[in-house]
Amino acid sequence: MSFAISVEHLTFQYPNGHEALRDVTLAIETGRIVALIGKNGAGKTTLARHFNGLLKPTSGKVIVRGIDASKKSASEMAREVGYVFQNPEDQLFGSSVLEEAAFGPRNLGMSEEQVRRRVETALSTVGLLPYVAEHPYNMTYGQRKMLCLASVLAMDTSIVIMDEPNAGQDCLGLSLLGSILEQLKQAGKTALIISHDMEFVASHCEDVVLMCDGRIIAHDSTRRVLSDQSKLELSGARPPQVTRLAICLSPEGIKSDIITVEEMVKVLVEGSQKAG
Amino acid sequence: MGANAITVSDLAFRYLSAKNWALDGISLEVAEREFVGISGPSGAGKSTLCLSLSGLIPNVVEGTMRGTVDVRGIDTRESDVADIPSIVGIVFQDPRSQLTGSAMTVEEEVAFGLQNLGVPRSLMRERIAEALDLVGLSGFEMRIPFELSGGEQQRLSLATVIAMRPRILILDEPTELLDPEGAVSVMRAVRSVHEEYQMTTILVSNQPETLVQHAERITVLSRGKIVFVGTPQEFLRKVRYLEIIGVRSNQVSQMACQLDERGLWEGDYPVDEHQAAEMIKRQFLGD
Repeated sequence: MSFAISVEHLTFQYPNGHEALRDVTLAIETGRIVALIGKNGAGKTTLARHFNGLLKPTSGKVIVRGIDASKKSASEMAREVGYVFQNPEDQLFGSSVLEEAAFGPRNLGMSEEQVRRRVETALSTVGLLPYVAEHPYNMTYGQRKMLCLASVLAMDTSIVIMDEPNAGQDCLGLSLLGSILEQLKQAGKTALIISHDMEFVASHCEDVVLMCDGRIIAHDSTRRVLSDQSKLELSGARPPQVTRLAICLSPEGIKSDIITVEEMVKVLVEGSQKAG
Repeated sequence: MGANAITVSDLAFRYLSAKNWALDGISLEVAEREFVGISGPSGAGKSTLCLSLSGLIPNVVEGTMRGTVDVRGIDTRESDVADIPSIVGIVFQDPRSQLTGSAMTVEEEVAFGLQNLGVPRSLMRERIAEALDLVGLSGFEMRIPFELSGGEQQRLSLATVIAMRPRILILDEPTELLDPEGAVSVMRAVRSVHEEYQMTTILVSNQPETLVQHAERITVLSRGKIVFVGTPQEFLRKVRYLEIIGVRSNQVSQMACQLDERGLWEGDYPVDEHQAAEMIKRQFLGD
């Protein structure tokens, strides 16, 4: 088993003294689609920013694809790890959609022909190819978030991290995002998404890492973590509505670890066939 | 029924230098004290409608406007933009874009709008205390706005707006960028404001659980037009249609719809998991 990311006894203290990560140990297998969840301030973004070298551990170790991330600069790590910021305003600066998406691959020293191919693929993946000439600031918030994602996809890194990619997306945007995660999976990439949207996590992520107060309190299959109501509540999250329904019905013999609408429908249809 | 709080007639708006109309023939009436939800995919015109109801369109935002917006008997085109905050208050999605950035404390932040309205000092203190109390921020008076959590900042935005005692409150996706705990705290504050001041409330949201829990009536926009108006129960019945135009329904109504299509569901689609559990016990588990 190979690990895309492995973290040992990582502690991080901000200059103001706030200890954002406390003795975190974590290993993420290569090729997994993983959700990082927990309330704001739990340390999710702080942890993720260690993976691309933006932050350096106060103590402990961060190994990304065999490389010690604490000894590399963020620009060196950019070849390995793509990072999509939560707020598009923190990431976008190009004067057109095309320029924005081309910046990363150009920086990797590719030929213009290679850059063009990468950019076209990335923009078409996020549905922005018709907007190549547009200025990013004329686009909706959801489109700007997709543009940030495209400029990271254009780097074709083996690890992709997305900080709350689904905030501000409508349901068409959400299903597009789901299919992008599926494509990353098919291509053998590792993806880590920070999210508060448990319905999205239930449908599109294989594993969940649950954080609370700078610590990891669960790392398991999505099904196990999302149906563990008490642990979720401890970190300010809630199971998806359909799981909450399953929990309400568990005294009646319905299993309580249902995490998608389709599963619930299947259970009820099968039950009614037996009864009928 | 008394006079409307808001009457929108055949409203259309096109932003300066835009090709398409962001709103294209909207007519809408909102009664005094009503709680109305607005949903729709991105680009449908939800925020443009909010700006129109608050008078920022056409008084501040440039573009071409057709039709009329009447807010408590005042035509927004003919109103003085400085008078509007005492009639309509608006809370935006991102609290950081709403807060002044210059106030050193929570108290100063709330005082800012009141000073602009010319509220006397003696009354100001009272108004600030009351607004902070309603949104659950009593005790935060001396805190620094930019050090608050997202949910606290959003409640502070709400306090700055309601301290001016508008009759109409507009909330443009106020919880979309918050974590679940922050979102619940903001909606709790909105609820107390709506009830305490009997304020007409318009909530724009793409979070179906929040919408059906709070709104008495839901309007759906798509491509600048109103495509649906109805009660939460009627809204939930439209699962498939909403899916096509890009609006998510709550999970328990998605479930009810899929069962219904197999001839296995009777009655309305449930508003929440508790109602769903009762209905399933009756229909499937023989209780």
